[in-house]
Amino acid sequence: MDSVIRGIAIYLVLLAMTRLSGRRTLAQTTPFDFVLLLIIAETTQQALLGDDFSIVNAVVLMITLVTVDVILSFAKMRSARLALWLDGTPTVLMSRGEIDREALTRARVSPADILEAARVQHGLATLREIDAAVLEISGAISIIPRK
Amino acid sequence: MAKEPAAPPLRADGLQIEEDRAFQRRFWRAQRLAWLAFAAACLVALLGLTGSGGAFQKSVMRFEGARVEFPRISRREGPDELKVRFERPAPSHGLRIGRDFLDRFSVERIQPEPERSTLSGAAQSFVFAAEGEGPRTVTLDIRAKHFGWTRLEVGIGAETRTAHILILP
Repeated sequence: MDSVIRGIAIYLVLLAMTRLSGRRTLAQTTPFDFVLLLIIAETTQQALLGDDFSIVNAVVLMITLVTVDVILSFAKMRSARLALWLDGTPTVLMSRGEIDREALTRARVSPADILEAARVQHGLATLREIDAAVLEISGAISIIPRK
Repeated sequence: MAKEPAAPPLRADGLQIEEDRAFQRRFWRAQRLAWLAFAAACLVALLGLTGSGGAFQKSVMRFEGARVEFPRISRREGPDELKVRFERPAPSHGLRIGRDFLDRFSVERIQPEPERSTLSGAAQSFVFAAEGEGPRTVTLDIRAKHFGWTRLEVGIGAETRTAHILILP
């Protein structure tokens, strides 16, 4: 019983924290973001397992986490409102070559981040070559080059 | 069966994206409030209100010739300490701890070891042999087994004091 409660509680806390911390916080934009993610994973693991390192505990926890995830994915399919709150929507950072300053400031994205994504994805050198940039739900920036 | 999700609408700029900017603005506001809450939680933890050290984590019971320092807030499965300081010289010191506390906490180590330990219905009594000048400190390494609100009753000599400890999950 304890394992299931722990699993559900940690799942919900992590979901709320990752959602509220912002998409760019854990988007692994720098090597340290990756280190931070590993530290959070390690901390969570200890809270999940406690001092019970049995296989049964690990299996019950894994099943609990997957089950909650499946239930939530079904709930999100049925309720667009819930999906909006849990996943958010993509944020258009640039449209028709124009930067949306409000979106950049609020989403904590800099023009340098957009340029980096443009270089990595399409080998573009300047902002002028970009038609649109979108901050995806995953935290990644996708670039549509100007035709 | 869940209905198939509809494709996002096509925008005037050619992007086929469902971007709800009004919701996004509300959520950005909520995010900023959450960041303030995260900072407040860090502050609360630094002050000791989530256990494990800090200015407000410990409290003290004062007796005639002794003081007991105990955790006001503890954590389930987290290590903690209960310290008893006997300030007056005596050939032996007695200490009684109520059952409620011992039901909630496991005592992992008592330093120094008591000379005698006696179980009674409502409490456990310890007697520590001593010699020379005081003060002397007895430390109990404790670990909470369950979370909740528990009563700590400590008796030294004829005096008894009661306090409460919050054990966080």
